[in-house]
Amino acid sequence: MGLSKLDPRTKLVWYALMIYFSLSCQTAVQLGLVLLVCIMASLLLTRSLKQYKVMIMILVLLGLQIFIVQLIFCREGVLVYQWGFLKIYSQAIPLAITGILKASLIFFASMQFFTSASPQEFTLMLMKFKIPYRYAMLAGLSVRFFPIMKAEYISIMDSQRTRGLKMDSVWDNLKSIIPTFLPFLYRAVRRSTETALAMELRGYGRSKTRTFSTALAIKQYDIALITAMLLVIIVNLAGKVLPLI
Amino acid sequence: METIAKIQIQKLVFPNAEKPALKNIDFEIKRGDFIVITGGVASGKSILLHSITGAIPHYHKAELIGNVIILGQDVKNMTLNKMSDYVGYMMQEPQNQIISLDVYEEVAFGLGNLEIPLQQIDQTVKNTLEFVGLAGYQNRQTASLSGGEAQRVVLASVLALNAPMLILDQPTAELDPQGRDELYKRLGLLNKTQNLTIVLVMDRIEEVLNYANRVFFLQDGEIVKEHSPEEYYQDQIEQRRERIKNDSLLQMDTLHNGKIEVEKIEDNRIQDGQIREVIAEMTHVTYQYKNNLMGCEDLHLKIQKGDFLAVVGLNGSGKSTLAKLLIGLLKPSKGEIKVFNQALTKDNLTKIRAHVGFLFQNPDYQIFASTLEEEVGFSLKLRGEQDEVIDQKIYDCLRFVGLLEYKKMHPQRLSRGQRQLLALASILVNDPEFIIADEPTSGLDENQGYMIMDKLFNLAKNGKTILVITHDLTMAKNYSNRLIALHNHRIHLDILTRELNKHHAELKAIGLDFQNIINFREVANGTF
Repeated sequence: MGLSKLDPRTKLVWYALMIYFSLSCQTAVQLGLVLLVCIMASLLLTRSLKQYKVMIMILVLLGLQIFIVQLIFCREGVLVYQWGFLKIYSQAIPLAITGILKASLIFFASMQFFTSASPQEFTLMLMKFKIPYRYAMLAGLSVRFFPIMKAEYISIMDSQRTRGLKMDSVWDNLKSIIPTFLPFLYRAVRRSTETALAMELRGYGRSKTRTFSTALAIKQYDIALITAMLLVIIVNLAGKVLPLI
Repeated sequence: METIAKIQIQKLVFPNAEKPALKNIDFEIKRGDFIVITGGVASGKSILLHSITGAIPHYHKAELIGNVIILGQDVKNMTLNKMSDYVGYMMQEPQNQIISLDVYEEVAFGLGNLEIPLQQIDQTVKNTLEFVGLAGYQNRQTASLSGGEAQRVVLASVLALNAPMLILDQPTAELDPQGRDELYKRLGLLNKTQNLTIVLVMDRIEEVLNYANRVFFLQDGEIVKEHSPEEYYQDQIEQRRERIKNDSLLQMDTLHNGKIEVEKIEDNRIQDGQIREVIAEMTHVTYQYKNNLMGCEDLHLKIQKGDFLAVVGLNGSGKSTLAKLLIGLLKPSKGEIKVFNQALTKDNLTKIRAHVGFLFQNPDYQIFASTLEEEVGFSLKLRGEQDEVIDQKIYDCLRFVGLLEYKKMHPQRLSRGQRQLLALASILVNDPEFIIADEPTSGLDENQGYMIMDKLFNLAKNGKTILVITHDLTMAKNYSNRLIALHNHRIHLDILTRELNKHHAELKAIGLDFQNIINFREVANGTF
């Protein structure tokens, strides 16, 4: 069974389950196991992890930040090293690892969810949650326009470079925000005006419903999966809450 | 013929505007009309279309005194999303109007909004795509379409709604000659066979005139003249004759059957028997994009001081890639590029770019300042020029492009054509030795286009080197001394423009039909 065959609601519950675990698990081993399950699920259903390549770079940068912050500010455990004001405590590294694993799990699950469903599936799912199609369809629009806007921002940077604007260092890039971001913003406003007009003039929102080329029909295996995942959350929550009563 | 629309606008004023954007508009549209509206920059062409579609006053707020009646309904009293029963609307940039990821969904979008049953939608999508020449495109990703294909998908999605009137705002402004020809032919066919009423706004309208029956000329928000297409032709001939009379540069061109000026530029390339300085050189340059798409292949090109090069070719043939390589925005996968006798490296790019002006096709990629003078002075400030020098150069450049009176205005209040002129002024302010212009006349009306090309021509005569990428074959033929035709990412032809006649068949075979264009010489000889 491929990932595309699953109902988006099943994917949403899976996403919620992963977020729940990322927040409730406290040890590196637990988090590591959940992350592994999450990665394996992707690998089994899509047979590829290619789409997560970009995410790894972002995670490395984020992980490095978490690591540095924990080393500098963590005050748990015993003092193991001191150099001037800098004090490193024994719990800094385990906490940094836990933090990195939590962030990785949230990132991975988010990527998994948002790349696995088509914009139309999102729209149909939101409509099942009684959101009017006029708003539900906007999710698909962002998917359509994101690559165009990215390409346009690159062209704007190129254009300003040819006028002599330097963009070699971080400081240069900071200084170039206004000459690059403002044209981008003006373009975005212009485009959104044109897009909205084109949509309205093709009857967008004239009725409460519209005809879609596909429909969502939840299958028995989706129901079974959703039930199983909800049960896992309920049992886990009960295990945490009941001892407190 | 049945009247399907009555447009009577005494006055249309935007909030905070001093002058009305439209005034004294009064005309009727008959079923089966093919109306072409043209006029100068900021003459109110698009605003008139917005008034007909209902975008004004429902979407863009403005005070409209008068009535726009379509099929007996006042547009003021209809919601915008009900207008699809009356008009289909298509704009300049297809990618801004395409909202779906695949072609089927895009064409089905409007039909879905009208709650048409799915089976009927399937059939309509199939038929409409067949009509626009895109049969079998249903599953194609919209992001992968060429400019011409994307515009035809937009046309299909509008036609699918079966509105009695089609309104088009600069639909071919971004298309190559082949794309323009295809679209106009289809519009003509729709008009003739299905009696579809068409109202089309274009800055340059020669190519569509064969299909039209009425031509409106707008000036300062007013229809100053309604012509038949034949009258418009005659009027244009007269105007161009006048222009030639008043322009010494073109007089010479006409008197000597178009050869004198071209040869003058050629002569400039030779000094004391020596070939003039080479400004830029590409040696076996290949560029491949990250997604393995070929940008250009094995380009071999030498550009000499004083050259006025026109680079022509269909969309996707590699013209913009060539230009970006020359300014170092792209690094060749193979081969070497030298500009001002220096290989392009990261270290000398800034120095080289200080002497090269690059005009992007879309002026909005560079405009960010809050006044025109600030925008023009931006690069001078980056170079640390003195305030007095900056002020003088800003004055000269804004005057040169005819925007001096707007120098304190916010650039975003200018029309598209005016923003194009502003972008040109921002480039010229640095007094570059080598100017690369990607479609410098796009978004400009005919007169503005010729004005810009005249200025570039004069710069070339004075020793500057110009490379113009253009889809406008008339401009390419009239102004360049050398013509580079790209096809399938390679240089297919590199010829002297005066020898163009020998290569017509070869150029036509790659979609560049130079024989069916209108130019000054023909006008002056009365063979227009």
